[in-house]
Amino acid sequence: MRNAIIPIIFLLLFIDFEIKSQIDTTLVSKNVLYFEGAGIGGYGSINYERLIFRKANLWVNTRVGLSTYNLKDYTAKFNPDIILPFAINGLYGNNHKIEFGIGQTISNSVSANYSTWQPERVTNFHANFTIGYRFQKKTEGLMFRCNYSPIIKYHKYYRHWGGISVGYSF
Amino acid sequence: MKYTLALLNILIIVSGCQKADFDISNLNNHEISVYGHGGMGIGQTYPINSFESIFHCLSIGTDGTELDVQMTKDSVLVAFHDRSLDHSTNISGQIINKTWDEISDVTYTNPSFTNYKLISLDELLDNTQNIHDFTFTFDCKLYHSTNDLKSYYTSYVNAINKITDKYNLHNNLLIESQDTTFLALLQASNLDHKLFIYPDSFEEGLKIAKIMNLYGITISTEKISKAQIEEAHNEGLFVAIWNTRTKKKTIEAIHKLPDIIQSDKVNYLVNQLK
Repeated sequence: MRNAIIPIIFLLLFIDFEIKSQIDTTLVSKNVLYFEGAGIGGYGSINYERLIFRKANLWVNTRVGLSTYNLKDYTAKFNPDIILPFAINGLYGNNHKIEFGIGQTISNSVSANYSTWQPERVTNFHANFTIGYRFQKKTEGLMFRCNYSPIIKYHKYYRHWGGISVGYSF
Repeated sequence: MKYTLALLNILIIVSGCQKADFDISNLNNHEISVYGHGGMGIGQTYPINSFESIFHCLSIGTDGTELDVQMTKDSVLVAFHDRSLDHSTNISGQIINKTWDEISDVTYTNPSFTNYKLISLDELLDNTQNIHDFTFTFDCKLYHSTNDLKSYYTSYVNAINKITDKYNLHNNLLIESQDTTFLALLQASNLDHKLFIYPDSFEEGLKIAKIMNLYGITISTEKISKAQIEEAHNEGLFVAIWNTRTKKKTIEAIHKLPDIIQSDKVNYLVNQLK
């Protein structure tokens, strides 16, 4: 059940909840591209967000990102770790917003198989949460956010973590 | 004009990547050996002393690596740095209070989305190819909770000797410790051990190394000057330096002409010296 959140978030990226029908007729930027230092992608990730719902000062968006730790594995061969953070975020506010998020980070990373001692690619799922501040105007422009974003590694070990993001909404 | 500036920029970038020429004079056949610090070093994407960190370090052209060594309750040598397992692994406690069976599945908590495991020295040496092409430095961490120091030291020395014999590491093992009693016991057990004192100050290290007739001194680069390294060389003592966490510190360390650098910027040091 917990892994169902990822396809749901992914589907939501492509669904438009008739944002145009809201009372506010300002042309709202629905997309954001940004880089996050640290955060739910590990040490840093590039991310795309899509606005799926907005009513007055309440915004809901979905996020997908891409990150890595190493492009080469420990034997020095090209064999990148792949980290995919997914999340659904709720935001409240005008230009200055508070943000809450929940999601899953999928990691497909290379470590040794400790029986054969050869490189092995392993996929794992980790829960992520976000609470923080975001600056983002309704229209296109700079986006900035900083947050506390703990990770529950393998849905088992709670890790304190945080992130800072800079990007552009359009 | 803009093409000239672009060309100039490219030249500056390319020259920044090139290795510099160093006129090296030391006891190590006038070469500085490049060792990793716990593998790829502190602050890298692999946890120090993990199999992945050490293997990667040995895969990119280094001469060897330093690794931190601790002993379990049942005398198994394990590669691990901290006194306690609490901060960087998924369990708590101290290695000396655990048997190898109790900790053989322990994993590092950092980086967040990885699964690197704590390893024994047997696992490392069994599964690293061509171990005799490399030199290993065992930084022996003597974390204990016993009043019976003699039996703890004896077990530790026996474990070191056992692994040295098992993997025939006599010519490619350096051993360092801050504890002179431990070094004396190692020396008494095998005169061929290449032993390094790991002192608080250069003066203290030089004095101990001379009195004990050790192989060398291991010291932070911030605690030793080029002149002091020359002084140690004049006494026939090798010098290994560590704590070179930036490129600037790495270059400064090279200019001091030590025999060994245990690096946290391994790729950069390899590019400079190999």
